[in-house]
Amino acid sequence: MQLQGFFYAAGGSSRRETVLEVEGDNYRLRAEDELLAEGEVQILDVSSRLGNIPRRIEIADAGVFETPDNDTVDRILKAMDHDDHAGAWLHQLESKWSLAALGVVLLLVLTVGGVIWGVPSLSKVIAFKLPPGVTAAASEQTLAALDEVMLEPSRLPESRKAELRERFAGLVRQLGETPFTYQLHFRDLPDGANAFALPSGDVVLTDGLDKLARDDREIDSILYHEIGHVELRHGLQQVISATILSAAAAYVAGDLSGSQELLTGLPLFLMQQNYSREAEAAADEFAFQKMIKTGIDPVCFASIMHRLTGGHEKHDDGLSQAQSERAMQYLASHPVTEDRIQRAIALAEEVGSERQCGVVGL
Amino acid sequence: MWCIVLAKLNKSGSWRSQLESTVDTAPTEQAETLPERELSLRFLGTTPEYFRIWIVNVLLTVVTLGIYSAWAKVRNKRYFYGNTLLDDSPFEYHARPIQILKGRLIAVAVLVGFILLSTLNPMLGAVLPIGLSVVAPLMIRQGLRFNSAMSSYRGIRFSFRGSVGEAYVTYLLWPTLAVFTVYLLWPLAHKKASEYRLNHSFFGSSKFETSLKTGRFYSAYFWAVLVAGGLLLVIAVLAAMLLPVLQAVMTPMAEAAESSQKIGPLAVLAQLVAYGFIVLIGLMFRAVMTARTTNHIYGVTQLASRVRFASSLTSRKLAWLYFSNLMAILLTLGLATPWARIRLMRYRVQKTQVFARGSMDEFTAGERKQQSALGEELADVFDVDIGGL
Repeated sequence: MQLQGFFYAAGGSSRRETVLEVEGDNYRLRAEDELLAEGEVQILDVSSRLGNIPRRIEIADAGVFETPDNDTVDRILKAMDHDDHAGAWLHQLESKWSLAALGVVLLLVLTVGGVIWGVPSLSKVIAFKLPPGVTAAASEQTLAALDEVMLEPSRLPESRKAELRERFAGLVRQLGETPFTYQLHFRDLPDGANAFALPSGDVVLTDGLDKLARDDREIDSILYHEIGHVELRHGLQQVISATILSAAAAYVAGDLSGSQELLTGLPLFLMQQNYSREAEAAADEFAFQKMIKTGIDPVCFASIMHRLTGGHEKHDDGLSQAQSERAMQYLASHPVTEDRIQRAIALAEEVGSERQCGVVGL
Repeated sequence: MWCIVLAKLNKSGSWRSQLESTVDTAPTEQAETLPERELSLRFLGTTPEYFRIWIVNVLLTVVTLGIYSAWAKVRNKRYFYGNTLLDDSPFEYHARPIQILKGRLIAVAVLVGFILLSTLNPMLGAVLPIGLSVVAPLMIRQGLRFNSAMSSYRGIRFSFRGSVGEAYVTYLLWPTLAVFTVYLLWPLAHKKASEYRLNHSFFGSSKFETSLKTGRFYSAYFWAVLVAGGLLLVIAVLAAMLLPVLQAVMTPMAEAAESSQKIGPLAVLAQLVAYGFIVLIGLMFRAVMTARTTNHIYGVTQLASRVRFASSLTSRKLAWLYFSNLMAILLTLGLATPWARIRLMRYRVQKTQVFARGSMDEFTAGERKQQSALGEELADVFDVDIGGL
């Protein structure tokens, strides 16, 4: 068998058109009538096949023979049972369209499955393995950033703040042993009733929510809900998911200059997204259990949620239009469904509610 | 991706420094009197062929939990090098996957150690990034050395012989100065980095030389800022004009959403659109900057006074490629990646020219040293390639 190609002698860039002849176990490399090298085929070092890039055949001490005739090289290697034939299976994999089609399906399944189940479960495992202090610095920065962009100092009187802090400390004590260091922060969100927790255990309560509450136990229920997010590490899981997803995205789009840096902005974007319905339900459940344990009627949660959803209009609670708009802000980040309220009421019935928070009409 | 090949030309690798004295000057002087001819430069990679290679790479990487990524990287590089033919001879990539795997494992170990340490001691976590930026120049240099040493053409290896000291000046001092001058010195820092890469690169025993002009870097950034700023202005004006229309449309929608308690998706959509615009502006900036700096760099770079280069990328075409590639990749959940890579490479090769005086047969090799993949892999993991310099 014969191979046409170029020969590059070792040590320089010279190039000659040559023929590599294989006969039995031996090869001869000739340029026109000149014999450049000969020897056993078995000791030639042949590069593995990749698409149709020219094949490189190294002849020790002499140089490199290079040929585009991949198919003949493969035939020779196979016939000789050459050592370098061992890697041929990879090229087989890389040539089959049926395999590529299977690959596409598998990849789509893996991607979709990975995004929907894989990444969240992995994040959950990691979130519970990480020491709680891991997000302290990041949480501090997040709060500082929020202070700059949208939050304002609270206008609540110091006495009220002290009162709420006292209640909060009481709630935290009920948790028993917890790895988190909880702290309650007061802020004002112009036109907004909201409460949220950072993964570190910093819980922020806005003046609007305090105004909206008619009973301190309603605030307790919201705070327990936020503590639930922290204890169940929802925020942390989100951060981890976002990091994994953006790393994967950067890997895929990787070396396409122009798109890599742009994808690094994505985790920030994803982080701003809200908790899932499941996470909200889990935090609710956490809050209900703690409330029952502490002797707070679960219906208090229903009561304030009901007011947040705008239920006041039907019952004429005397909330102004502005107040109800504030309530909407909370809803935007805490999707309130009738289910969640119903769940609280059902639970209240179960434990023999005393109707603490006065939810007439619910 | 053509940047890879020329980066290879740029970056060459590792001959012993004593070889500097043996740089062949004789043929160079001769060559100057010889007529110049253009060498053919072709890229033969095709999407159908590369797609199948790529998908096997991805699948095996997933199945082996990332181990195969080292093999995938080598096959990727070999495919793009081997399909780039200059004067009918291909470029070649020689790294062994095991070398890369070792580098990756060490890099991952360092990364995990870094995370653990900063978890145990937040103070340490604050100090380590600084420590990292101090070792970054070393890693970049090592990456340049490895990449060049693993690249060859016509059986001759490239090499990079930049010094450690100059790596610190280039990748620590200049970027720091740039940051402290509100990035006014950034184009200059970019120029210094390009000079460092090119002026210490060798093909065998022949040296690359470049005479970059600071003004051309400033004008490239000026136009990039102008175009990106202009686009921002257009978007802002359009948004202002459309605002009344949007409000008219959105208000009933928002009301409907309010009653069904589905504000979320609407807000998400608005954020996505805003994010899309930021990406678009970033792409435009990058396209203009890359086209102009690349054209300039190729235009003033020579190899031993015997080979010179030219590049004629246009900002418009490059921006379109970046944009359409990104959209295609996003819309196909990544499946369009092979197509995107091939067409970007094809365009860059198509717009690059190589001219040679005399024969290409007279370059000589130098001695080779073993190269470790560690630097390159660390640079990958920590993404220290500052602003794509």
